[in-house]
Amino acid sequence: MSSRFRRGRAPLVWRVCLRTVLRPGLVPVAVVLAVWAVLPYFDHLPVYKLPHLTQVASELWHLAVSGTIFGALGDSLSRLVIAFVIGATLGVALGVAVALSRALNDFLMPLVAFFNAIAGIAWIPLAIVWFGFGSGPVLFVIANNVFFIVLYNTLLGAEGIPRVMYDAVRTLGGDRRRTIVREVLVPGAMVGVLGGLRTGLAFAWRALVAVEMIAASNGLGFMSIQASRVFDGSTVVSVILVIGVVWILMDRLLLRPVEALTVRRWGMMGGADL
Amino acid sequence: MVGLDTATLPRVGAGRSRSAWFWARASSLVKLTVPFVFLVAVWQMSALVLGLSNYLYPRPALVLRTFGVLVAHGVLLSYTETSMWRWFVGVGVGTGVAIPVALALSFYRPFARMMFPLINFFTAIVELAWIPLFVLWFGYGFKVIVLSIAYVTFFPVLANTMSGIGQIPKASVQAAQTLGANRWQVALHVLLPGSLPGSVTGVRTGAGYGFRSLIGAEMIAAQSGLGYMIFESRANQLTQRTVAGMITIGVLWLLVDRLYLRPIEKATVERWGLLRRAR
Amino acid sequence: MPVVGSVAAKPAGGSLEVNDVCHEYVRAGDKTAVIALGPVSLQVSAGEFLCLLGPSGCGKSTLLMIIAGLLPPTRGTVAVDAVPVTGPSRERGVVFQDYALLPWKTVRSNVALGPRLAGASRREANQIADEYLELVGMPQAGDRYPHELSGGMRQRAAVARTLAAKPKVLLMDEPFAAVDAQTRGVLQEELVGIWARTAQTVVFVTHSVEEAALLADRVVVMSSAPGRVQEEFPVTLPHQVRFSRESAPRVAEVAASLLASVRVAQPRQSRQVASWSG
Ligand SMILES: Nc1ncnc2c1ncn2[C@@H]1O[C@H](COP(=O)(O)OP(=O)(O)OP(=O)(O)O)[C@@H](O)[C@H]1O
Ligand SMILES: [Mg+2]
Repeated sequence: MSSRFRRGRAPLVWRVCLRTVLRPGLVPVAVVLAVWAVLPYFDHLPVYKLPHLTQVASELWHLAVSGTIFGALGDSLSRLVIAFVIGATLGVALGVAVALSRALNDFLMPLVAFFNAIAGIAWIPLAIVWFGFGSGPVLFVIANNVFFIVLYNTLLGAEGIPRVMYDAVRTLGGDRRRTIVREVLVPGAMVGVLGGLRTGLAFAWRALVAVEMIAASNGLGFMSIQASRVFDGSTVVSVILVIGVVWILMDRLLLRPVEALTVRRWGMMGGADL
Repeated sequence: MVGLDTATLPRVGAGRSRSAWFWARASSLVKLTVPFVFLVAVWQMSALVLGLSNYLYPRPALVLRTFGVLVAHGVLLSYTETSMWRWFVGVGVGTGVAIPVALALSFYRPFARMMFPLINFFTAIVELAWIPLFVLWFGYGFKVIVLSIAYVTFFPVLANTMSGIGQIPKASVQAAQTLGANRWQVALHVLLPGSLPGSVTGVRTGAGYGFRSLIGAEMIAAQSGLGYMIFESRANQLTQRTVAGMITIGVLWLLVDRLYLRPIEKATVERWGLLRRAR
Repeated sequence: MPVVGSVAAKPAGGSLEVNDVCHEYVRAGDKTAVIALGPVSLQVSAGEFLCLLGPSGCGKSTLLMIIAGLLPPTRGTVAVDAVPVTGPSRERGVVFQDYALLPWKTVRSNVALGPRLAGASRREANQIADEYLELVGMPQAGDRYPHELSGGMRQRAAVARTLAAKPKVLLMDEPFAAVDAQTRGVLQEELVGIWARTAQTVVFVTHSVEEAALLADRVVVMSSAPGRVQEEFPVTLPHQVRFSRESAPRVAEVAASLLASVRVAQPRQSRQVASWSG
C-alpha cells in the first residue's frame, strides 16, 4: 500500500523508467547474468572457455570505443544488404513472371525445390573457386540463397491464390494481363513473398556468419573465428551477443512493421510465433 | 441440405481407372524428370560455350564419373553416413529437450511469458555463431556439430509445440477436467496429443535448419562428412567432387524431407490437426 | 463504353440463351470424368428474373460459371444477345457462392474495382462504391477489410461489388444464404427494386423455395446430379405486391408447389436423411 502511494508521488520520468526496468521478462535475463557473474567463484573452467561477465563487458566496451565492432558490423551488414537486395529483387521478379504461366511454373518448381535443398551454405566452396577469398563468395552465396528462397515462396504464394479471385476480377472487366498481375497476382502472392523475404533474410544472416568465418577476411564471422583461433573467448562471446542483438533489431524494425502493414492487416496471416 | 456422397456420382470410364492411374503416375514422373534433363543440358551447353576449365566449371560427364569414383571407394557412403548420424543425433537432442520444455512452459503460462524475451534472444543468435565458442569447449568434431544442430532445432520445435498447445480448444481441457482428470492426466491425454501436430511441424522445420547447419558446421569444424568433403575437395582443386557433394546434399535432403518428414507431418496434422493443412 | 454513373443509370438486360450445355469435371488424380451437369437448355429473355432451384451438387454453380464464361462447357453453347460467350466479361457479373472478395483490398476498393476497371477515376469509383454499400445497408464498412466482416456482410459486399460493375446479366449464386432473415428480406426487396430500375437480366441460384417464389419471374427446378431441367414454373404474381402482407398466402402457395417439385428432384437417399434430421 505504502509503496504504491510513494510511486504515485514519484516524478513521471522515474515512473516510466521503473516500468520499463521492472518488466517481468527481464527477470530470467537477470538470473542468467547473475549466474554467469558468480560462476567463476564456483567453477574452475579456463577463462578462454567461459570468459567472465566482466571480461566480456569490458571487451564489448573496448570494441565499441575503438570502433572495431562497428567496423566489422558495417562490413557484414553492407554485404548483407547488397546481396539481399539483389537476390530478393530477382527472386520476386522471376517468381511473378513464372507464376503467370501455369506450364512454366510446373516446369520450374522441381528445379527451384532442388536448388533450395542444396543448402545455401553448400555453395561456399564453389563460390570460393569462382571468386577467390573476400567479399565475392559472401555476396554470391547470400544472393544465391535469398534468390531461391524468395523465388520458391513467391511461387508457393501464387499457387495458393484461390482461382475464384482471378474469376472475380475477370468478371468485373479485368481482362488484361497487367490488370490480373496488379490486382490479384502480386497482392495475393504477398503472403508468400513476405514469408520468403523473412526466411530469406534469416538464412542470409546465418549464411553471412558462416561464409565470413570460412571465406572472408573481415566482418563479424571472421572476427569471431579469428578470436577462437587465438583462444580469445571474450571476443567470441561479444560477437555472439552482437549477432543476437542485431537480428532482434532487424526483426523488430524491419520485418514486423512490413508484415503488420500488409498481410496481417489483410487477415491473410494467422497465428503468432514466439 | 444434405450433400451427395461423391461415391454415388456417375463416372465416365470407371473401368479404365487403373490404367488411368498408371498414366497419371507416369506423366507426373515425366513432369519431374524433364526439368532436370533440361538443367543438365543447359549445364553441358553453357560449359561448352563458356569454355572454362574443369576446375572452374566441371562438366556433367566428369561429375558423373566422379560420382562413380566416390561411390566405388566408399567415400561417399561413409561420409553420408557420418553426416546423417550427426544430423540425426542433433535433431533428436534438440527435439528431446524442446518438447518437455514446451510442455512445462505451457503449464505455467505466466512463467512462459517471463521466459519469452530470453528465449527470443537466444533464438536470434545464429547457431553457427556459437561454433567458435563450441570449438573452444570441445575442439573439432562430433560434439560441436551435434550441438549446433541441436541448438538450431530446439527453437522451432519449442515455438511450434507451444503454438500447437495454444490451439487446443479450451473446451477439450475443460471436458477432461469435468471427467475428473488431474493436471498430469490433462497433460497426458489432452496437451501431449494435442501438441503433436505442432511438434511435428516444428521438427520438420528444425530438421531443415539442422541440415543446413550440419553442412556449415562440417565445413568449419570437422574432418569428415559431406560438408568437409565439398570444402576439402576445393582446396585440393577437385571441384568436380565439390559439385558431386552438393548434388548429394540436395538429393539427400529432398529424399529425407519428401519421403519421411512431409508424409509424417501430413499424417499427424491431418489426423489431429484442427486448422492447418500440411504443405 | 465506360459504364460509369449513378445507381439509376440503365445497363438494360441482355437475352440469354443456353443450348444443350453439358459439363464433365476431370478429376485431378486418376483423370476420370465426373458428369456434373446434364444437357441443359434455357432461354432467358432480356430483363427476366430467373431463379434456379435444385438439390445440392446438381450443378447450379457449374452452370452459372459456364454462363459467366469462366468454365468452358464440355458440350453446348451459351450466347448473350445472340453473341456466343467465349470468356468472362463485365457484361456478365457474378456474385460468387464463396464471396471471392479480394482480402487485400478494403471493402470500398473491392466494390470500386468494377468502375475502376471500366475507366472511372478513383474518386468517381469510390463514390459509386459508397452508393452501393449504402444500398446493401453497410455504409460504414467501406474502410474495413473483408476478414473483419461477418459472413453475411461479406455476402452483401460481394453483391454490391457485382452491382457496381453494372452488368447486363447478373449471375447470383445463393447470394443471401448467409444473411439473417430480416436483412435477407430487406436485401431481396432492394434487389427487386434495383432490377426493376435497371432491367438487368438475372439468373439467381437459391436453395429456398420461398426466396424463389418472392423474386422470380420464372423458376427452373433442376434434377439431382447431373442436373437437368426438371420443371419450369412461371410466377405470375406482379412483383410490386409480392412483399406485401396481403400477398403472403399467394407467395406461400407458389412456394408450396415449388417445394413439391423440389422433393421429386431430390435423390431418394438424401431425402431420407433430410427427413431424419428434420
Ligand atoms: N472442380 C471440381 N472437380 C470435380 N468435381 C466437381 C468440381 N466442382 C464441382 N464438382 C462436382 O460437380 C457437381 C456439381 O457441382 P456444383 O458446385 O455445380 O453444384 P451446386 O448445384 O452448385 O451445389 P450447391 O447447391 O451445394 O452449391 C457436384 O457433384 C460436384 O461434386
Ligand atoms: Mg453451388
